[in-house]
Amino acid sequence: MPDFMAYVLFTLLGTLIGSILSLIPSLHVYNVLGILVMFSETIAVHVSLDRIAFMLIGMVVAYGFLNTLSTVYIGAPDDSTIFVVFPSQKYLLVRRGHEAALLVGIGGLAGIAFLVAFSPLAVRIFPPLRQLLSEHLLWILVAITIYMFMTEFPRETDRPRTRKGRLWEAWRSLIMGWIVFGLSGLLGFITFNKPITPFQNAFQNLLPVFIGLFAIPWMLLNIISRVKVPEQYVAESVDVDPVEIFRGASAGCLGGIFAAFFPMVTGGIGAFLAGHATAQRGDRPFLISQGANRVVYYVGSFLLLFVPTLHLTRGGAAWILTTMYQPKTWQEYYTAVAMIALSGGISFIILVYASKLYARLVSRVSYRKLSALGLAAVIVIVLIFTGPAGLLVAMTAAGIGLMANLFHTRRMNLLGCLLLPMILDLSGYTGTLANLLGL
Amino acid sequence: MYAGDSEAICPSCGRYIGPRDVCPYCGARVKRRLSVRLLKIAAVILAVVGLLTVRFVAVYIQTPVVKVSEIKPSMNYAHIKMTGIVTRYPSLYSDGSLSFWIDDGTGEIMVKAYRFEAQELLQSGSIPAMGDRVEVEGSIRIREDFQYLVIDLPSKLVIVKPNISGSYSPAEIGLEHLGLKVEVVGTASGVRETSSGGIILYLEDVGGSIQVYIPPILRVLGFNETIMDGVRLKVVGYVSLYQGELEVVPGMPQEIEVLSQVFEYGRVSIAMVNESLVGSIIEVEGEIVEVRTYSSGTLVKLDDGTGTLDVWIPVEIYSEHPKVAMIAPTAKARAKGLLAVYKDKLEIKVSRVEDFQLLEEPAIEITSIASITESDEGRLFMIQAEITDVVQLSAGLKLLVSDGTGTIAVWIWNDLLEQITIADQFKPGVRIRVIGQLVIYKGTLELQPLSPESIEIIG
Repeated sequence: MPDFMAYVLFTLLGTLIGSILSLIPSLHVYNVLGILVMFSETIAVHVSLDRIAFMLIGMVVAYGFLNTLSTVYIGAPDDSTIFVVFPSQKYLLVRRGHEAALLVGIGGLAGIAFLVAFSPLAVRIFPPLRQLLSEHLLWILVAITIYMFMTEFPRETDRPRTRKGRLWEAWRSLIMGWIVFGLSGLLGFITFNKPITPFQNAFQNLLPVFIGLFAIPWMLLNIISRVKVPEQYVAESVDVDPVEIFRGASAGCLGGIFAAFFPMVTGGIGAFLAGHATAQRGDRPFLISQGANRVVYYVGSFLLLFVPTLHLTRGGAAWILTTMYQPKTWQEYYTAVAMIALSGGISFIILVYASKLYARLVSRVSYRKLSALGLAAVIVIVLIFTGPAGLLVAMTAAGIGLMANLFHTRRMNLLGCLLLPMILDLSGYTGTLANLLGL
Repeated sequence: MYAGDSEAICPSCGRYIGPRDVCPYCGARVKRRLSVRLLKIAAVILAVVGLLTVRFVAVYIQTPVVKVSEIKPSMNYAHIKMTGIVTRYPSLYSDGSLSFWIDDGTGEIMVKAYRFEAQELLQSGSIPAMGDRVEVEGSIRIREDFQYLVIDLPSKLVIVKPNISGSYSPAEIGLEHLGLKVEVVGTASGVRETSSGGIILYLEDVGGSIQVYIPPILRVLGFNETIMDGVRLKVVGYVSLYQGELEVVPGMPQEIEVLSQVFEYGRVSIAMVNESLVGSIIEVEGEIVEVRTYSSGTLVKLDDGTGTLDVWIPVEIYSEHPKVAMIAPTAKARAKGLLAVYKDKLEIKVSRVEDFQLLEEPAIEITSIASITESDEGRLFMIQAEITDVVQLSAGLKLLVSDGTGTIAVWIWNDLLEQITIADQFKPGVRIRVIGQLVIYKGTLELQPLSPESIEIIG
C-alpha cells in the first residue's frame, strides 16, 4: 500500500479510536498510548512504526476535540480544561450543554486551521526561538509562577466584622493557593526524582499525579454534591458571531502555541496567560478560546516532534512516540499537517453527534453514577499502570486537588507539580531539596 | 457531607453554587455546614499524610538495578541504578553538561549530567576515569535509537577506582593488559594537541612505545603541565584500544607525573651527535641532500660537512610549513628537535613549524626531461616543454609535457590552479616553462609547480 494511503487509513483509525476513548470520562488518551509503548516491540513486527505515528496523530486530534464532552457534561477536567469547567457548567445547568460543547468544538476547528496555516512558518520560527529561549527558561517559568500568584484574587465576598477577620478573609484563598502549589510541587518533585511507582512503567509516572489532582476531586465532588443535570436542549444552531469566534480563537491559539512550545507549561497555563494577555470577556469567546487552546496545545506540541530541524519533544504523545519512532523527513511533517486537518474535520463532525448522544444520556443517566463510573475507571487505570503505589500517589494528589476545590483557589496552582520541580532543576536546587527530603 | 440537592443551590437566588459558602451571584451567605468543614479537613489530612507517606516510601524504597539489555521503551523516565565499567573518558560540553559511557557486561550506555549536576561533580572531583567501576542512579531517557541515563543527584554517583595492575615499560604493554590500569614510564614524543583539546603522545623507551591520550577533561580538572617531546613521564591509566591501537588513558591529573624535563643542548655539529644526546633537544644546520616523503611525514637528510643526520618532519608540521616546496635537495636548512632513535638510526624529530627553517633556497636546475630520474625525488627542476595532453581530475589538472627528450607529467593541485590566471590556455601544442618539485606518485614521475609564477607560457 502506498505510504500516503496508509497514513490516511491509520489517521482515520486513530481518529476513530481516539473519539471512542475520549467519550469515557477522565480517561486520557495518553493512558491508552501507554499500552502501545508496552507492546511496541510486538507492534513493530506487524506494523511499520511511522504508520503508528500517524495513528497517534488521529488519536491526539480526536482527544483534543472530544474529551471536551466529558468536561462539559460531567465536569471531569484534565490539566488543560481546568478553565472550561465553570462556564460550561453554567451552560449545562441552563440546558445548553450541547451548545457549550459546540463552542469549544468551533474553537478546536479554529485551532486546527491555525496549525495548518502556521505550519510552514513554524519551521522557520521555532528552531531559532528555541535556541534563543534555552538560556532564559528559568526566569520565564519563575515569572509565570509569580504572575499566577499575583493574579489570584480573594474569592470570598462576605466582609467579616473584625479587622483580623477581614485580613484573614482576604488572604485565605491566596495562602491556600500557595500551599496547594507547594504541596503539589513537592509531590511532583518526589515523582520526578524518586518515583515510587513501578519502574517498568515509568513513562506513566505522572499518570496518578494528574488523575489525582484533576480528575478524582471533580468526580468526588460530583458524587457528594448530588447535582441534577436538567434535560438538555439540542440546539441546531450556535449563538455566536464571527467576531467572537475570531476573538476567542486568536486568544486560544496564542495560549495553545505558547504552551505547546514551552516546556512544563500546560494548556491550562497557556490559556490563562492568553486570556489575560487578550483580556477575554464573555462566556462564548471564552469557551471558543479554550477549545482552540486545547487543540493547539495537544496537537501542536505533538506536531513539533515532526519538524525535522527541531525534533522538539513536548507533551505526552511526543514523549511516548520518541521511545518507538522519531519522524525524520519534511515529507512526514507536511503529511502530518495534512492528516491533522483531515482528522480535525472528522473529529468535529463526530463531536457534533457525540455531543447529542451525551446530551441525551446525561439527563437520563444519574450524574452521580456517571461520576462514580468515571472514578472507578480512573482508579482501575491507575492500578493497571502504576499499581498500589500509584494509587497512593493518586490519593495524595486527590487530597491536594480537593484542597484547591474546597478552599476556592485556582486549580492552576495544582500545576506546581510540574513548575516547582522544573524551576528547581533549572536553578540547580534539585539536589538541595532532595537532600532535605532525604531522597 | 452535603445533605441533598438543595444544599448545592443558593437559598437566596436558587442558582447552582456547588460547595461555596457564599453565593458568587447574589452574595448571600449560605449556612456554614460542619460537613463542608469536615471535607476540607479530610482533604488537608489526605494531602499532608499522603505526601508524608509518599516521601517515606520514596526514601526507603530500593532503587531497582537495571542492566542495559533490560531497558524497554516503557521504562522511559524510570529512576534506576546501573553499575558498570567506564569505557569512554568523560567529555565536557560547551553547555556545561558532562557525559561518559559505562558497560555493564550486557551493553554500553551513556551517562549524562546536565549543567548544575556536572558542576557539582567537577567541584567535588567525582569524575570517573576510564576503567573505574561506577554505581550510578538516575533517570533513564529512551529514544527510538538511543538511550541514556541522566544523573539527577550527583551524590548518587559512586566511583570505585581499580588497583594498578603493575608498572611496565611501554614495550611491555600488550593486549593482555586491555581493560587494566597500568603504570608506564617513558619519554614523550610526537606530542600533539587534538582539536578537542586532548593531548596525544607516545611514551617511548629503547624497546618500543605506547600511545597515551590525555583527555580534555583533565585540563578542567586541573592538569596544567606543558608536555613536550623529550619529557620523561610516569603515567597511570587505563589500557584501551583506539582504532586498533593500544593506548593508555589517564583519568586524573595526578596520574600524570613529569619525572624530568627535557635538556636543551643548543646548536651542535652533526659529528657531535651521538646516542648520549638521545632524549635532548638539539639544533643542527646543513644542506639538504635527500628528501623522502611518506604518508605520516617527510624525512630530510642534512649534511653539514661533518656528517649526515636524518630529520623527521611529521606530516602536520610539513604541510603547514610556509616554504614547503623549497624543502628540496641543495637547500640549506636549520632543524631543531628531540633526538631520538628510530630503527637503530639517530634522528631529530621536529615538533613545531618554526623549528625547521630554510636558510637558503634550493638551486633550480634547467634540465631535459630525459635526465630526470627517480633518484632525483624532492629536487627542483626547470623544464621547457610542449603540452601533449590535458587531463582534468577531481583534485587537480594533469598536463603531459614533452621536450623531445622525453615525457613527464606536470601536476597542478586545484588550489594552485585557481591562482593561475593563464590556466585556460593550457592546451595541447602550447609550450610552457615549469619550475617544479619532483614527486613520485604511484611509480610515475611528476613535476609539481610551487606557485602561480612557477608556470608560464613561452609559445
